[in-house]
This record gives sequence, structure tokens and C-alpha cells, in this order.
Amino acid sequence: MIRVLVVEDSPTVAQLLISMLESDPGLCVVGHARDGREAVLEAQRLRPDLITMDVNMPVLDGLAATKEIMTVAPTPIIVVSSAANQSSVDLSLDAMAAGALMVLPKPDGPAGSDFESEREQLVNMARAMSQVKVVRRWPQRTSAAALAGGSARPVRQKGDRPCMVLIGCSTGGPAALRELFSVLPASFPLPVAVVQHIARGFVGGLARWLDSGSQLRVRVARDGDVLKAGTVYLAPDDRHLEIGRDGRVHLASSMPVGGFRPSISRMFESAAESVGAGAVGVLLTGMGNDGVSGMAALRDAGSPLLVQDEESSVVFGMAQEAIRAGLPDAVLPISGIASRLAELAAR
Amino acid sequence: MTRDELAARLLQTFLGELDELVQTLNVELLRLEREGTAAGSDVLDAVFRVAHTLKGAARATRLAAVEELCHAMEGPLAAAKAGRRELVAEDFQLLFEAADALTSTGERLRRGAAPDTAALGALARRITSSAGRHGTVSGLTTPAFGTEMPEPEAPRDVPDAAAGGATAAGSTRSMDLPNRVPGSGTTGVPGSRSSSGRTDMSVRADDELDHSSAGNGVSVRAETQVRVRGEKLDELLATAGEVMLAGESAASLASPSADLAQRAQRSAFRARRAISRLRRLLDSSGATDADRRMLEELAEDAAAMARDAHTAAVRSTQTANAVVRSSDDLLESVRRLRLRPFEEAVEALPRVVRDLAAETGRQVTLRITGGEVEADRAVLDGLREALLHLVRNAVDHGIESPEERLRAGKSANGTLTLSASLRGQHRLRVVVRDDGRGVNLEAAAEEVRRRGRPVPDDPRELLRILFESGVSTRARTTEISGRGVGLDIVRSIVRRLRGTIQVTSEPGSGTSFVIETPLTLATQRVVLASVSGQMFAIPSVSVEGLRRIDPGELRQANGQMLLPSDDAAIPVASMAAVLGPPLTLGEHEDRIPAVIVRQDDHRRALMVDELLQETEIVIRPLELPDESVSESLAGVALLPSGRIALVLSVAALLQREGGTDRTVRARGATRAPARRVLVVDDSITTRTLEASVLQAAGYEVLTAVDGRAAWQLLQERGADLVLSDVQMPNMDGYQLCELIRSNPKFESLPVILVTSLESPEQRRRGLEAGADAYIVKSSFDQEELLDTVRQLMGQEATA
Repeated sequence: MIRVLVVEDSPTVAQLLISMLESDPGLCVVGHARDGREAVLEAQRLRPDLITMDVNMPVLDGLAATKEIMTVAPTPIIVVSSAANQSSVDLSLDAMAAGALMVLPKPDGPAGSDFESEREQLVNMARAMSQVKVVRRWPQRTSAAALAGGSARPVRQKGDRPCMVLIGCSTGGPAALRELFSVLPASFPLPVAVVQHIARGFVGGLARWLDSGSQLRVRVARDGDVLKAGTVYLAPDDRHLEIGRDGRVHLASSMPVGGFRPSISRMFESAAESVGAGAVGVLLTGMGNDGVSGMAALRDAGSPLLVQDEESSVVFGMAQEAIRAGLPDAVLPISGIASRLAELAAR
Repeated sequence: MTRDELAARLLQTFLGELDELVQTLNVELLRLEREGTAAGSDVLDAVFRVAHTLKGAARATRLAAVEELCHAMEGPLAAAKAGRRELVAEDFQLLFEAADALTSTGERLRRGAAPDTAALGALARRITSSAGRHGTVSGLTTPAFGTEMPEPEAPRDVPDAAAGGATAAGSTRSMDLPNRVPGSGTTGVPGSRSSSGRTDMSVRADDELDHSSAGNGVSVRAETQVRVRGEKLDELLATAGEVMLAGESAASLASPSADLAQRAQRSAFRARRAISRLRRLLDSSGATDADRRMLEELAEDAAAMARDAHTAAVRSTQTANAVVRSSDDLLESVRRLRLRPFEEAVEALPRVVRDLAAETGRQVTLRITGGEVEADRAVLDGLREALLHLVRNAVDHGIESPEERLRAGKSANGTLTLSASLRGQHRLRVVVRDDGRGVNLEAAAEEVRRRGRPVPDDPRELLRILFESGVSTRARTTEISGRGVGLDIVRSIVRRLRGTIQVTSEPGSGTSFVIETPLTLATQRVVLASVSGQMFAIPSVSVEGLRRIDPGELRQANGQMLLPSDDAAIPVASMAAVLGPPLTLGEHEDRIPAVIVRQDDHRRALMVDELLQETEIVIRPLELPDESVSESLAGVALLPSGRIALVLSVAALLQREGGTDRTVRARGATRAPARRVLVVDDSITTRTLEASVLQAAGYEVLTAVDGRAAWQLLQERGADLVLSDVQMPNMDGYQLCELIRSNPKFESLPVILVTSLESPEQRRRGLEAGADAYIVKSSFDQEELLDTVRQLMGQEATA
């Protein structure tokens, strides 16, 4: 039985979340906290397997509560937030940087037509996230100095200087991306395309949040964008981000791949076809195996491939699958990935 | 749970949350408006959070129009929060309007109606366009990325349409606009009555939880809250009440078993005496030792059985007492759960006063004291409405315009005071006082005269008429306070709360309203009476007295039977006739038991078949299709005996006509002089009750309030039996009993002690003091009393 603590100041929304969660016999809501302070106390008292966390709350907001919980009683946290306010999205993403695993939008309620799929998503995510081993987080140190850190193995070298970086990530991705982009210099000479699995509605906020903490420019990709150096393009909701032969972004509404749209594999495969060895493929923290088959395609095309190491990953899933398949050239912490990318770009 | 059920439940929760949040919104907005930035960022945060939280809740309940309004409200608040602008008068006006619109949406939803989406939408648009004029876009913060970084989010389910060219405000708008048209947006409203009238209650459990906060050893006091629907507390309370009754019923069963033990003891004793008397006879009849032993063993067995029976009786008494005690505690805890501070009843008033003062050009300071005084939620809910009317009335009719006040030599600023306090343990007193012009008695008199009603000389009586519909003391009637209708509503609310209200007014210097209500409505003391075999409960608060009416004392005027009393004669009616056609006519020896009920100045003596006892009961509401019946009944209650009592609404009883034409005839002219019983008790209720029971059985009754008075009365007038309470001031029952026994004149006068406490120790003390019988109040029933009295009198008679 997975024991869940619901943190939410609105009784209506709390009731909704509780009934959605408890519609699954494997989930049991053991507590309900109405503000962040209560959340911290209840997390310590109840030691739940999972917490759903609202962000805008009295006394202590979701971010501060997440920070405290990750210090005193590390627990998998799903942030449940409205996607319509930048301030909420910022708080949610900051909470993810502080250790929350993912963000889901506030559900629409039983009268909404998406109720069943929302319910399924919440239940599935709750089940999946409750299995994540979260570690105690101490106040984050900045890793700018880590740029100097070299790699253990030389990167396999084929062809010329790469022309773009492709990054795929899932659970724990926002924080990893923020750390990566905060280290890469404004003069980074390559465009970066990113597929981050994130709940619908949040990608715009994610772009602004990453942008505000980065020297690169971060934005949501639009169909037909010409990839520019020093710019990060995030795949939008519900579209595959593909790299066309013309070097432009193509947003496709084709079938989801392995349940994902955008799919990391789809992005990698399209680049393998269009730019061959010119793309650097990177897989960061995340659950599942999206990106692994795409990485195989990149490898066949001769691209350098990097994955995030277990220690710095929130969930060592996709990267582990890639390692099992013998794909990556290097397994590195975020700081190592940053310095390796700088190295490759400087070639 | 199906989706529809979930939707219905969410809506219930939402309505409670809506009320709470709108209340916070009003309070915090007022503070913000009054104190400006000095109020601190916390206040602004709180206001923003209300809009935000409500938006989320509205979304969960699929109330798109509410969600849209809340989203619009977030705009100016977010901007102010971010320090980009200050809130101006127009913002406050719009936000207050929004608060009102939300309140009325809640009301509509409770009625089962759909929200007025057009009005909510229009208000949302006004807020957004006003925010735009003041340099803020709605909802989303100002775009931080110029034109190069267009807003990337596409509205859900509206792909691409709003991306690109749309402005930030536009895209935000479309984002939160309902994707589905109204109509489907209102499906969250479960049709029907179940959605109305339920309230949510926050139960506060102040847990002292010591937790080290982030390892710094700071102790944190956590206040955990559980939300419980009010109804559930009602159920809990009713169940707790039934547990208490069951406990009392167990306690009353314990007393017969104690009697049984006593009887066993007596037979064992008699057996022993018989054996010792028979000994000589046995000796002479040549019985063997074995024969004698057989008899003695029999006596010993009887004694052993008596001891066991006694032990069992003591144990069952102890257990029953323990059950009664804990169920009392339980009832008390549940009652306390329902208590909320008085301030919850007056939360809305600062806002009301502000708006009304602004509208009428008054300057008014509202002072509230006693906000911490606690009363039952149901009482506060009633008071909330009553106080609203009184406060409106005070601002609109009572407090003068600043110029008028200055002319009268007062400060321009009027003061309106609301104070709550406890009266004794069980009553709440609320005073609403203004320092305005006071009631214009002449105008009131003129108005009363104009309506063709007699004008009373007593100004108090005139003020009482103020409460009656249609009398306003100001020439100008306004939409605010109506035409005195408000006061009539106040009167009926106070009645419903089983309270009283009084007005005093000093022309030129102000008016005061004093409301007194019980602290709780869920349990109440009642007098039980039976009519045509049905038990009725009459709230004690409305009972002025219990009487045995001698038909000879009744007078008749205009076809109305009247019972003369110290002040005015009391109309007499048969309760059976008031309630409906009587099924059987009660047979009365000579005196007819009656309950004199009173509501304000109306009194009536209601004749019943039998008066039983006064007790505390938990009232459960009664829903009947026939309103003419249900309005006379305040509910039903389960009695310890398992019988159902109908709780009567005295106000309704007094309004009902009928029962007055019944002629009461005395039966049986001459009788032997009645035996006289002296009833001693410091409680008037117990005294009256016991006296009634005894009078009904044909005894003459003298009463005394304590042992000392009883002793005097006994010497002066004598008695055939004394029925005395144990615990009394001056001289208690034991002392009285000892005194009686020590006087040769009263040596054989039977004394019955009545006590609320049952313990073997007390029983022993009572018997030591010389009492002949011992009756426990909790098991008090009139048959037992009369049996005991008869038995003791009969013994005396035959002796």
C-alpha cells in the first residue's frame, strides 16, 4: 500500500485529489496538510511514501516546504500546481530544483471531459514516483567551479565539430537542465534542443524559469524555427520536436512514441537522419527508457553520446538503459556534461 | 463513488470553502484599504492567495465563470504583490464587488441555481480592463521577454490559436476561459435540495506537537485541523445524547437490583429470626442436629445470596454510574466541538458598516468586544443574520449624519458597539448599542396610531411594537433597512434561537438591543408531559411554572377560561385541543396538571394529562410533509425509556388557536381530608415536579426550600410524610432526618430521601440518619415515588 500525504490549502481541491488518488486500491491517503508548515510536520510524523504538494499556501509555501521536507524527511514529492500563473510555475519548478520529482497541473474535476485521463495520470505518477529513492538534500552548492573538472574517458571522435546539442530528460530534468544551463556560457556556440517530459501547460513556464537562471536564451520551440547558437529550444506540449534536413525545427503531431509526445527518441532519430554525426546526444535523469532507441540511431550515425551518472540523477532510468545497451561514450555528472559539451563545441 | 457523486460532494466542500475565503477576502481587503501598504505584504499575500485558491477550487468544481473572475482578480493583486503598482480606490471597489458576486454565486449554488455567468464574466472583464488601464495585464505577470520571446503557451484544447499574435492578456484570458460552453460548466451543480443548507465546520484540534524544526531544536506548535461537515457533528451529538440516555437507563436498572439485594437481605434476616424462634420448638419436637443444620444452612445460603446480590448490585450501580459519567463527558466534548468564537458571527460586519456608511454619508466606528466568547455554531449562524439587520438598522436609522451629530453636540463620528458575553453557564448575551439619535418615540407612536392600533403609554411597550412588521421610525424608508421588516426578522430569528431580545432607547443618545440566547441549541432542558398517551417535551426556557389547576379557581371571560395569577390572568387551554382534536378526554380527580408557558409577554396555561419530569434531551430535527404540524414541533427526542417525545415549539403553540373553549368541571365533591406531604428541595423544578405528582395523587403538599425551613414548617403545621432532597443549603437532608428522628413527636414520621447521587455510602448514611426510603433522582419516576409514599403511609396507617 502506497501511503500518500496530500498538501493543499483548498479543501475542495484536496477532496478532489484524495478521491482521485484513492480510486486506486493501491494508494491510501494517510494525511492532509493545509499549509507548508503542517506539511513538514506531517511528513515527519507520517513518513508517507509520496507527497502531493500545492505551491501557493499560507504560512509556508510549497517551495519552502519541499526544501524542508527534503532536508528533514526526504520523500518523493509531486508538485500539483496551476499552470496558469508564472509565479506558481516558478514556485513549482523551484520546488523541483529543491528536490520535488515532478509537477502535475491542478486537475479539472469530475465534470471535466479529461477527468479519467487526469485521474489515470495522477495515479500512475503517484505509483511511479513513490518508488523513487530520494536522497536527503542539503542546501544546494553551486557547481560553476565544476566546469574545470575533466572527464575520465576521452570522447569517441567521429567527423567534424558538432552542430547542435540534443538533450532528453524526464523526472528530475528541470533541475538538471537549470544546473547545466547555468554553467554553459552565453557564448556557447551551438544551439540546444531539449525534450523534457513535463505535464501539459508547464513548458512555457519552464522556459522562462530556465531562461532566468541561464546565460543561454531559453524558449519554447516553434515550427520552422531556425536553430541559433546559444539558444535552447524546448519541445512544446503535445508535439514531437524534429530536426529537419533544412536545419529547422519541425513540430510534428504524429503518433506518440512509447507513450510520449514529445518523444526524446523521435528527436534523436530525426537528427540522426538529418544531421548525422553532427548532433551531440545527451540523456539526463529520468524514469523509463524514452531516448534509448533514438540514441542507438545517433550512435549508428556516429554522434557523440553523453548520459548523466547515477549519483547526480534523481532517477537513474533512461541513462541506465542506455548504458545497458552499451551506447554512451561517457557517463558524467551534470558539471562533467557541461564541461564536455563546452569541449566538444570548442573543437 | 461515481463522478456525479464526487462532483456533488466537491460542490458541497466548495460552498463551505467559498464562504470562508470570501470572508477572509472581505476582512483582509478592508484592512488593506484602511492601512494601505502599512498593512504589510502578508495582507496582500493573503488576498492574492484567496483569489488563487478559489480559482483552483472553482476549477475542480468546474465553475468556469468563478474561475475566470478569480483569475481576473489575481491580475491587479499580483501586480501589487510584485511591487509594480499600488491598489487604488477603483481596485478596491471592484474587488469588493467581486467578493459580493462570489457570495451571491454561493447563494445561487446552494439554491441549486447555476451561477450568473454573464454577470461574473462582465465583472471579470471590468477588472481586467481596469487593471489594463492601471498598467497591469491580467493574471500572468508582465512578459519578461519582450517581443523576441512571445508567450509560448497555447491555451489548452485551443492549439496554436492564441500563440503568436495574441497579447499576453489575451492569451491568458483565452487560457482560462472555459473550453466548454456554459451549460456543461454548470453540470457540477447537483440539482436539488441536498445541496442546500449544509455547512462545513472546521474543527480545531490544538495539538501540542513538539517537532524539531530543521534540527534547530525550536519547538513548533502545530494546529491541525480536520474538516467535518456540520451535519456529521449533529449526528455525533445526537448519538452521544443517546449514549447518555442509555447510561441513565442502565443506572435506573441498577436501582431495582439494589432493591432486590435488600429484599434478599431482609429475607435472610427473617429466615434467621424464624430459625431462632423455632429453635425451642425444634428442640422439643425432637428434631435432630442434622435437621437443625439443614435449616441453618438454608438461612446461611439466603444470607450468602443476599451478599452476592448486594455485591452485584453495587457493581452494576458503579458501572452504570461510570457509563453515565463518561457519556456526560462525551456529550460535553461533542458540545465543545461545536463551539465557535463569537467573532465568526460578526466577521462580515466591518465590511457592511463600511459600505453602508459610505453609501449613507455616515461616519461610523464599529467596536466589537467579546469576539472570543464561544457558542454553538448553530447559534452563531442565527445571530449572524440578526446582527446584520441590527447593524444595518443602526447605521441607517440610528446614527445621524456627521452634520446632524455636530449640531447635537456629539462627535461627527458615530460609534456602534457589539459586545458578547456569557450570562451564567448556559446563556450568551449580545448587546448592540449605537450612540445615534435613539428611537423617535413620537414618530413611532404616530406610526402605530396611523395603523389604527392603540398606542401604549409605556415606552417599552412601544418599542416592543417596533419589532412588529411594518413600523419604521424614519420617514424615509430605504432599500437598506426596509420598512422595519428587518426588526421583525430579528425577532423571529431570536425566537428560533430560543432567545429573548429587549430594546432600550434614549432619545438623542442612542439605542441598545440586548439579545440573550442559549449557548447551544442541540440539547435543551424540557419538561415532559403526556397528553392522550403521547409524550410531549416543552422547552424549560419557555416554562414559567407547573401548576395543578383546581377548576374552582378558573374564571371565564369572553368564552375564554382564565387562571388568575399575581399579575395578569393566564388564558387556559387544553394542550390536546391546541394540538388537534383530542383522542380521549383526560380524567382528572379534582386538579388538572398544567404547564404555564411563556414567550415574551404571551402566556398560556396548557392542561395536560400528566406531568412527568424535567430532563435534558438531545433534539433531533423532524421533517414532516405537513407544515401545519411540523411548525408546532421543534423536533423529536428519544427518552431513556425508549419512548419518543415530540418537542413542542412554544412560539407556535401560542399562535395556534383552539383549546380555549373546553370547559373544565370539577369531579367528586367531598373527600376525606388529604394526607399531607412535606416536600423539601432547594431546586424549584424538582420541588414543583414532586409536588405536582403528589397533588395529582390526592395528597396535600407543603413545600420548603431547605432543611431548616422544613423543620419550621413541620413544627407549625405537621405532616404525614417528609420527602426531602439530600444536598441543600442551611440544613441538608441527613441533618433534617436526624432532627426528625431525635424528636419524640416525629419519631415515626416517614422520611424519604431523594438524591441525585447514588452510592452505597450515601444510602448507608441515609439509613443511619433514620430515613425510611431512599430514591435516586436519575431514576425518578412518579410511579416509584407514589408507590414508596403509599407504602410508607399505608404502613403508618395500619400500625
